[in-house]
Amino acid sequence: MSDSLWSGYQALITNGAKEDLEVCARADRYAAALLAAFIREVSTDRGLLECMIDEGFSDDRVDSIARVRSLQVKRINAYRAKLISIRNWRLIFIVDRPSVRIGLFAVMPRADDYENNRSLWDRIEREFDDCGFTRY
Amino acid sequence: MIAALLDTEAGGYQLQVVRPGGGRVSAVCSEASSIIVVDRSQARPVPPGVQLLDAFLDEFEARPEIAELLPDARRDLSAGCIAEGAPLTLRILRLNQGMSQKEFAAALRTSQAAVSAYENRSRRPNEDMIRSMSAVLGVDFNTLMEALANAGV
Repeated sequence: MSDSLWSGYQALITNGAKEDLEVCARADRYAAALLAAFIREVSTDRGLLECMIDEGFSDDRVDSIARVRSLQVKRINAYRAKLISIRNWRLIFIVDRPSVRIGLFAVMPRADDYENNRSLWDRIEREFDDCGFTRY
Repeated sequence: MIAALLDTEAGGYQLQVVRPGGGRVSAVCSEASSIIVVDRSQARPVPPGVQLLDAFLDEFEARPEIAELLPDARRDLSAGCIAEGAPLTLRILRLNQGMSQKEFAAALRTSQAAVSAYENRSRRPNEDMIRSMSAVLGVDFNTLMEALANAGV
């Protein structure tokens, strides 16, 4: 019997994303349960977690992963995930490669025009800086 | 049907089942299945203003109004994968039973890390574990072997 060390990304969630999930649960409890079930799969599957920051990735669960331009121009390495079974919501993940961390920073309705949501970007940028993630 | 349990050159075991129709099914339990994988990625300090995702989910999923919906939500995730034409995998079978990895591991009397390794095909279940999985998931041997042969992400 032998030991091996598995080193992977630390999976985190911000207070803003937690509040987003609360808002979702109040608006649509079942959607919140679906999101929780999916996010749990992400948190327990290191391969799937890294797919959340893999531009162009898609599979039987994930519709698409794309860079968030509004944050990338600020050198924040952010990606939005559209999901297949949860069509009305999207997730925003940010990776900090130097510290080997991936954070879930937002959960938002897909109908929102997120690229022009100034208050959301301000919140994400503030939490990004507060938790010590680094700009690339 | 003829079943044989053979020692392999790698030091593990191989179960070969020859079916009357001529098909053959093999299950291999190699030395690799006794490797203990230690995931230390979550052991590092958590920065201020954030929480470990798993820790948050433990709290969120424990809320009665969410907990009661989770089995159906997992079944819907599984159905969505199947509708997308995904190959049958152990993960899809588990979700179809409405179970998290943790719940599946508890039902199998093993660790969540072991279930994760089986789902990602980095570890091969032994004969006893295959029997347990078949019972817990309510699927026959061939269906389970097909699922174990198909890779997840």
